[in-house]
Amino acid sequence: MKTPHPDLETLAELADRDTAPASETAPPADATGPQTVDPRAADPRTANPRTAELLSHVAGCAACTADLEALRRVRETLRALPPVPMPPDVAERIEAALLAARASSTPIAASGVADTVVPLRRSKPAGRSRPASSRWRTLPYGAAASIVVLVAVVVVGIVALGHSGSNDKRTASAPAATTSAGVATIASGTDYTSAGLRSQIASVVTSNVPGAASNFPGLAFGLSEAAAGSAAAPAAAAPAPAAASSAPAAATLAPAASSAAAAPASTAAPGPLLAAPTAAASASAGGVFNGGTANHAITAPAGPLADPAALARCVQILAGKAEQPLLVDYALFNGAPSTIIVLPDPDVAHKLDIYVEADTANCANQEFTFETFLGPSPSP
Amino acid sequence: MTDGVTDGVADGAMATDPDVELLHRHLDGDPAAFTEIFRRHRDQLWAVALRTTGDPEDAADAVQEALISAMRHAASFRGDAKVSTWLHRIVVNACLDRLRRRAAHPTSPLPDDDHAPSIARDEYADRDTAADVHAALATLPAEQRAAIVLVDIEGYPVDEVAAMLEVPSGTIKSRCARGRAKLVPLLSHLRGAPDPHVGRGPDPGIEREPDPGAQLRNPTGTDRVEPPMNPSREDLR
Repeated sequence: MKTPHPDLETLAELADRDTAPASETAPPADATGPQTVDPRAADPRTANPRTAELLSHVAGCAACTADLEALRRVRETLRALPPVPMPPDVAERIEAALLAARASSTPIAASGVADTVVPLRRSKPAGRSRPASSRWRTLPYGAAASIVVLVAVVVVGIVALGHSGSNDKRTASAPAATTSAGVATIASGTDYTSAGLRSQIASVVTSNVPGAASNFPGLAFGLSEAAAGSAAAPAAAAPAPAAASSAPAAATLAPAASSAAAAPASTAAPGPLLAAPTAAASASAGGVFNGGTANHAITAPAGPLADPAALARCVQILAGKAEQPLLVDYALFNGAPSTIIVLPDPDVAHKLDIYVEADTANCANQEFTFETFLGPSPSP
Repeated sequence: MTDGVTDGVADGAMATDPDVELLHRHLDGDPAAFTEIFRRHRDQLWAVALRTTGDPEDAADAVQEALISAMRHAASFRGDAKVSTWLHRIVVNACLDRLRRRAAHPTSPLPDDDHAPSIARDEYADRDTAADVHAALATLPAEQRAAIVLVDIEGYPVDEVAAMLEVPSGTIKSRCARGRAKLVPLLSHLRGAPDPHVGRGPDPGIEREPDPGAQLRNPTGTDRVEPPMNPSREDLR
């Protein structure tokens, strides 16, 4: 026995070659179970001299034989686990959610992109359909139509307001000819913290995005967390809350509606807002913010996501589709330069998703910090 | 819908597949069709989600968001895989996303490595074995765990799992091999099986291969958990 013992992993691969074809031709009896047979027919043992060497070692080695037996038993144990049918309450809940989702959207089929898009690499956090947890309570909210109008006002209001508190002039002045609404991009200077993220975000969003509080009732909890004197640092440097009321709603609504009307059918899935009776909603749901911001003058901390195209790509990855952020703050998170992206949840109306992407992170790796402000729970 | 879409589904050479049939009906506006698809696959999807996330609440959320996503994007199903494979892909991705997100979540409780993740109540006939397996699975990296769940527990062929996870078959095989190697010391006590490592001293004169092989034989040498399975989340319920 001059050959060293193979490690367990190598033995596992070896055992896999021995046993896999047999086990894989015994799929679950269910009609929907696997039917494909692993076409690995040729015995690689004869082809690979190292494998042949290993086999000859294992054949004469009690320890390795015991290991192989242990590996076989592991597979046997795994395979023998009893089935776990979906509990009826879960099944009911999901069927109800499917029904509700179906009511609020139609299958994407008409855009002509559906057969080229694989939009399912990432899914969104589902709204918990269970009512009223102690932490995220149910909030009443206003009529859907008025909220949709507010969303349109918000989006354009951001364009009008820009941000008056910092010196990086990232006012999002979309040219009239484009279809994109602006993004509230700020560099608040806030050092967001893990513990205080929700309250800090709630404060910054409320200060910078007029109407946000009424559109996203979950924000109120963030604010109340701050008011309750939690460990969170007070949201710092939220610029110019006074300006929030100055957005002339009537003046901004019109461009919002027109930009929505001009927006081509995008690759975005019909978001929850599309279910609302006015096309203005698509100013938020459908707008792809290409070129909507002028990023050149940014002076505050700004990482790779200061580039609107990079930001759009990142949002696409994070949210699973092109999505108009409510607010983007080039700031700090736990002291590290980060981009804080606040997005309306693509699937759940009135829910806000917060992504914190460190400047050193790569959106594609999904190494981000995630928080959320729930929308109202469905009425019982 | 465009002709291209329906053709794409129909041309999948699976026109007789009841799932494809149902998908057609869904795209044609049949309100019950997608629910029927869900009912046909829910138990398998649930088992995969529960064992991948280790938490019933997370599993339910993952399956729900995955199914809603699948329903909305049904037209993007291109017939180059079975509907069940497609659904599994979406559900597994939702689970892995959830685990990753939780790993990055600033306010979720820290994973407690000293305790097994919560196990679905009354889900298992043999709770001891199942609990042990669950706890052992929790120590695997999520992607190894998913491969083990799909191949070894659910019994799907490697090639189909490769399609579900969108990686080459060889990757699935090596994930399974690595995962099983890590499970051996954790599960060897089951069924009264003698631990093959007990009393197995180093053979004099025979060199063990260097790490990671030696490490894998060490019951305490399990890799760090990444991403962690679900800690108890009572505060969210």
